[in-house]
Amino acid sequence: MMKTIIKNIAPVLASIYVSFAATAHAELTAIDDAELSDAVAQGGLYLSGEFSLNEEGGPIADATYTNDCTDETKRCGARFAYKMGGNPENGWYVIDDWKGEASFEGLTIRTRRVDSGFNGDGADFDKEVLEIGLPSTMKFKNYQYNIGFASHASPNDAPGSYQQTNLYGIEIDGQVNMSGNMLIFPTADK
Amino acid sequence: MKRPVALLTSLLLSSLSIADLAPMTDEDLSGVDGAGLGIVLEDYSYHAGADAAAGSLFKITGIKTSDGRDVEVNVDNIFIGGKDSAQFVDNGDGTSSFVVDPTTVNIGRLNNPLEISQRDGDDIDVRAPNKGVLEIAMSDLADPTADPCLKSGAANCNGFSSRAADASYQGERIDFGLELDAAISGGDNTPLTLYVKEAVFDGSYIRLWGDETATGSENSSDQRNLTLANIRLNMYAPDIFIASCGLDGTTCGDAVHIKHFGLDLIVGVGEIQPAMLSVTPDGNLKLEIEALPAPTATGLPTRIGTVLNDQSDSATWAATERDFYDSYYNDTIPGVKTKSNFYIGDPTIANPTFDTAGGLKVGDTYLGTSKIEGMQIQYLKMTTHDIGG
Repeated sequence: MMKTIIKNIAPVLASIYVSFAATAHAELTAIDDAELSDAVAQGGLYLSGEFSLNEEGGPIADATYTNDCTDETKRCGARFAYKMGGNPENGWYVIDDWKGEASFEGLTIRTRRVDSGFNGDGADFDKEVLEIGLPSTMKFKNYQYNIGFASHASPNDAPGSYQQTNLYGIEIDGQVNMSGNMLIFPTADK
Repeated sequence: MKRPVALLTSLLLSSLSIADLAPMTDEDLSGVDGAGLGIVLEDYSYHAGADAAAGSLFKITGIKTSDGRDVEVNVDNIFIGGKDSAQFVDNGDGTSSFVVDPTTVNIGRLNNPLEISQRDGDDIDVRAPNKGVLEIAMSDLADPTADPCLKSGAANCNGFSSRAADASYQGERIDFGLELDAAISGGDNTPLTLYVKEAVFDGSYIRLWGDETATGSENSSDQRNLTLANIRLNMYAPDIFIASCGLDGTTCGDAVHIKHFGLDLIVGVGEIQPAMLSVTPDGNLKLEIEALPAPTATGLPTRIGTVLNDQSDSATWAATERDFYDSYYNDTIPGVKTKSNFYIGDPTIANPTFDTAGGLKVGDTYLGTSKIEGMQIQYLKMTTHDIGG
């Protein structure tokens, strides 16, 4: 089966290569080492994005508890549970009823040499860093989640004996302004 | 069969990589010593909040009154920024307006950044022998042995590496604040404004590691099997305001103004006395700081002996009871601190549109300074309980 696929892919790839070559009519001239050494990659990544999470409920529907957005007494958002203890009696930390839309524009990722600024720290530092440019605004629509603690990872794991205590919930509708760059770099051993 | 594909791929790739690769010298390589991840936030500011006029909302839910009514906490403003990110502007009629317009700040320094790293538990300032410890830390204190500001709330603090803002530089000290109003359904709104100026968190960290083998309390043979933690929270701020403004933030009355707030909180001491965060079987949060085991008839309790004898400075420990307990209570165990300090300097109730350099003024209500020094947590167990019924 695998062999057949590979056999079929080879000519396809070859034809893609040929068709690309055919579209590139311009003459290519060789770049010598001296010219190359002047070329510094300035490019980075510019990202914009949007996501929507469990707005209409999720795939696991349960008759009593979860994922029925039409019933206000039930939860319909996504759920994330984690446990930080190896004993059977340890409970779970949960982010529950997590849903809504969020979008951002202008998240950038690039490398940058920091050798000035920072009130004198930059010149001493003089190294490359990874720079993540934060999007200046993030927009949220009906975005919400609850933070809580539960006896089981999911209510469906123990119908009847399941218990959960919610600490608080957050609801955001509107925008969050966030400016600046996050600089990331390796540090020496302590 | 695969040969044409491989050939084609290598052709495509080789045609892309024309640039020369320069070899790294031994000197270059010896300069690479990645042990942790440093993070610096440059020109950072954050601002969110509800704005009824723009139709936006930001609220905290899930809180109920004792008689079962929902309490909605609307977050009107939440912000992080540089010096003077907000101010109380005098309205001229004895009230003031709280105006938020965050400026930018650098958080962390290039030579002393926020750091996520893997620490060696054998280090004497970690004291979790034979474990790898995950550490998330703010900038280190400039001088880790002396923290005069945290203890005394002195006006000029030089023990920090984060610098204050001046005319030419925005600094590394953080203004942050919150404007909330708690609305009880069918009841009143309770607004609250909190504004912390030029706060420093240097020397704070959280350390996490797993514990699968050690016994729990000294008298039990149970395995803890939990995530253990040490937390140190250092915070110093020269000014904190707590005010109650009208819902639109334009009519603030008098505010509580704390001059010099210092906190140096120690939660857990290595594996000598670790903190444990867990969730109970009925879904409640439990924070426990293990009690220090009592001395035994024959000397040091086994658990303490194991921790000290596995450290890199084990030779300096005579491993006698007296040495250990003396050091613990006198806060002289090398590398770690066992005592917490807390300082609230000169709190007053006054109109917040004051001159920040000024001291007490006529008409201010002075509440008296309070100070907790050398607090040691011997044992702590806190559990949440659901009273929502």
